[in-house]
Amino acid sequence: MDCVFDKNSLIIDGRRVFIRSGAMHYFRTFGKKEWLDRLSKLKAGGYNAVDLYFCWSFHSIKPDTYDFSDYKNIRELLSIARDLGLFVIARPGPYINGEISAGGIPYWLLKDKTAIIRNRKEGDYIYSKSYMGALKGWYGALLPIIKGFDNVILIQVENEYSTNGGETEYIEELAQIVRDSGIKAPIFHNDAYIAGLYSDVVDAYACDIYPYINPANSWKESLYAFDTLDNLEDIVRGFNEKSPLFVAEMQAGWYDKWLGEGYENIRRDLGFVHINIMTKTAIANGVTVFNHYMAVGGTNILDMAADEVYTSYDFAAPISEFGEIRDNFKKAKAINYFLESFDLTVTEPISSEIEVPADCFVKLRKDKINGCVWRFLRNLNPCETYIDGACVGAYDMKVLPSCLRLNAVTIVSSGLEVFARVACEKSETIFFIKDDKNNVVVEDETGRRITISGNVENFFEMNFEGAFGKTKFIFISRKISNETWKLNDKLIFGASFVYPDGRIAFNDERTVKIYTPQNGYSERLCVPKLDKKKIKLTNFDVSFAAPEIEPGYDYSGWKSVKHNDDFSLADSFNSDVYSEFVWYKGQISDKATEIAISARHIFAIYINGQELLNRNSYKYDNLKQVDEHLSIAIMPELLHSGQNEVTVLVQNLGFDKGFTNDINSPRGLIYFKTDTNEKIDWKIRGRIMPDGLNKRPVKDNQAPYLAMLEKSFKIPDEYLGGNVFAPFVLDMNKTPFRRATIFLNDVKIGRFIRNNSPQEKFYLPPHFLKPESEGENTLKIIVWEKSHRIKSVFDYKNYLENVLIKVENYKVWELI
Amino acid sequence: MAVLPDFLIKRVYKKGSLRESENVVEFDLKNVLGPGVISGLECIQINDYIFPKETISFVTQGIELLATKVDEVNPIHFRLNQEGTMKLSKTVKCLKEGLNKIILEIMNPEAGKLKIVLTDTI
Repeated sequence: MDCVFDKNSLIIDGRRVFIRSGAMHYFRTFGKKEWLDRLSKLKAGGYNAVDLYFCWSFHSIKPDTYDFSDYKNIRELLSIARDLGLFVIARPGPYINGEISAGGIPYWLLKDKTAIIRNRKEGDYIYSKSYMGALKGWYGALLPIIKGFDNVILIQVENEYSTNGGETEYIEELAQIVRDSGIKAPIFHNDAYIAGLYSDVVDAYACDIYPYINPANSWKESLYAFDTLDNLEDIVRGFNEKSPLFVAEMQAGWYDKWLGEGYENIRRDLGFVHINIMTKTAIANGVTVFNHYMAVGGTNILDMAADEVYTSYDFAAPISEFGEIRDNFKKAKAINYFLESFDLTVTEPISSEIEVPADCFVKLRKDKINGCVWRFLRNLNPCETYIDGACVGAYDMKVLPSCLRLNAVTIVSSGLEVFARVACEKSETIFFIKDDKNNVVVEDETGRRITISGNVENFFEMNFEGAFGKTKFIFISRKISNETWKLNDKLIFGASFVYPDGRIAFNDERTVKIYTPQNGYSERLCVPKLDKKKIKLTNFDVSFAAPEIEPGYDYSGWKSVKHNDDFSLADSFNSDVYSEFVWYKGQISDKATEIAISARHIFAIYINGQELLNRNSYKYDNLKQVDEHLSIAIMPELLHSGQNEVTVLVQNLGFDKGFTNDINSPRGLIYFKTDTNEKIDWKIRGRIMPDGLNKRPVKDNQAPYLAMLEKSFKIPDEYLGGNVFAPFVLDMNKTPFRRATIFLNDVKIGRFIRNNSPQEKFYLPPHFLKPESEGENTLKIIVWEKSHRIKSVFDYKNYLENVLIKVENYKVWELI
Repeated sequence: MAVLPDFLIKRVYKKGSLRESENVVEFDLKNVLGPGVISGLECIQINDYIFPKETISFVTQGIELLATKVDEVNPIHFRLNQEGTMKLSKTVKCLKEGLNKIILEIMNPEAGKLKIVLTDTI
């Protein structure tokens, strides 16, 4: 595929193409089946491209080793995109941010003291040969795979990069490596500052736009948030005249953090309104390449998440973490269908004398392909407002045609938006969104003008015939348009969603209507047969999971930890241990009466097998991790005479992203001091359950501070088959735990920390679920922090055995 | 979202605008970067002279905002292309011929404290 560009648009195989892309993290959606589902939905929603970050750390857990197999098989992923007819925007990093731990830089490279990550230290540019050597290994493994797919139309180097001095050598070298690999797609970098960074170094300039980054405040109360987007064309044309207006990341949602507001709150705040305004304002500014970030939500499994995000990475995206079509998808679909119907790749702004009411935005663009003018009208008032004679609802934005020549008539002006156009030969049908307060004015070939009210019944039709063919107008409500799908030359009404292969999804009894310009309407009755599958798990097999806590546990084989004179410790990472859970063991005397401690992020102290403190020390403020320093008195009854065994278990929640600053690495036990100033010979080991998730023998005298619950369950084949879309979730709502780590068939798929996040439903990715015909699924949940009300080992075991956890479908859609 | 790199944030300062009269030093800012929020004007240093909060005000869109009144509840919304003048009350001469060093410490709700080091020649 030959992809070039001019200042207006990309030109692919000689044809101008408006790129409507959506971002998906394949490392947060797992395996062929899920990729096919999500990419099919993107395609059906009118997107013509998918944006893919390639995550270095996901593929490389040790130096010079790259795993592209199974659910890391990106060849398969790229094949699916190609087969669906989707272009690909490839973003191989090396740094990807994406709320991935360390921004996707592998742990083994972070440990290399000679490597300066991203050639940047405290913002200053410092070239690092060992870093560049490592990343050349990554590019060397990845780029040949990308090169094999000619649907890759754009490739990005680095990500939102800058240095204090704005040096360009690093970006230049990355671009050269890509070029030397034989990839011919235009190279770009995404400028987070919209300041023209590297615009002369790469082929095409691109920027990111996120007006909403603080879910605590509604964007509706800070309308200045759109200042940059409103002026994008002027800003970018100030430093770039050669490439199309390209928004590499256009906000389509936002991530929730530990201690955050929850995704449903973010969805409520952003909704379909925000994506509508974002996308149409971008088009009003001449953008012809956009990428909704994210278009597809995902799940943080394993240890992939950066320390600020929890398991769900739903992102309030148009396609949710569970694969459901949400309201912002429906709005994006309508915009995409409009752009699919009319080629807006060559437009230019024209001045106007239109009076603009307060908190409104108006832009006119002359369309050099369709010969018309598009009016972009936006109302950020909390009530409907008339702008240039058109009524625009509260927080709404419209793109309206003027002087648009159709087969049989010309739209002189319109207050109604076009939803889609379908055509065959000389017959075209224009679907308008009904609008009680607006009209469409058309002129036929005789010069006769007709005003058509937008206040009509659903599916009201107007027919026109002229020398160049036929034009039919059909009016549908916004609500109907939400469940309307455009597949090539037909529209399907009343479907929950459709797949590009024509399969229709529904989750209740309904009649689906299909329209083609040649044959008009046909109908199909859809009757669901499957109920939601609900599996109640109880009577768990319980084992205690932490003999390390018990006095006398043999830890002589553990590694030593360097302990400094000021009682700070070399963190777990610098002790060559990186794991979510890290154990420390040492001895203190019976003279100690107080401990001062700091650890990241959650920890517990046990003395002689008894818990002294169990603390969630995770704090985040102003984009920065905040250390907590605690002092705690040692209860005398915990100490024996002589030496006493102290055990500290620390759970970290990943690294930060290192977006602007260096990756901030202290993890594990950072500081430990007794009031007796004892030098402790600390020993360290990573992981709970070092021998995998195998059950340990249970002893009744065991310290029951960590327990593993285990249960098997079966999923009937029909729920994972090809004729159903039925995502399964694990519901922790009714559990009494405050912290648990969840494993599905031995893959860590969730971290439940009740005090830190609102997430109670955990997605069970189908890639890791077995259908009944292939055997049973095993759920293992490691629970840490028992209730203080439970005093005895027997009670604890009994209480855990009888916990109730549900595995059930989030929803069930059947397909015909 | 982004904590701006030094060379970009300096673009907010209007070069050549540093000036001094009998009891006030002034310089001009223009937001050429994007909409921003200032939730605190902490202190400003020019050469060796430190201006505490009480001596600082920011004049924008015809309104003089006292630094002591700027906080997270009453932040300055500094919009794209908005201009303003920083006014610093003083009792001694603090500018010199040639290169002057200016250090601004401001607060941003997302990024926390930002220290901006600038120079201007008079």
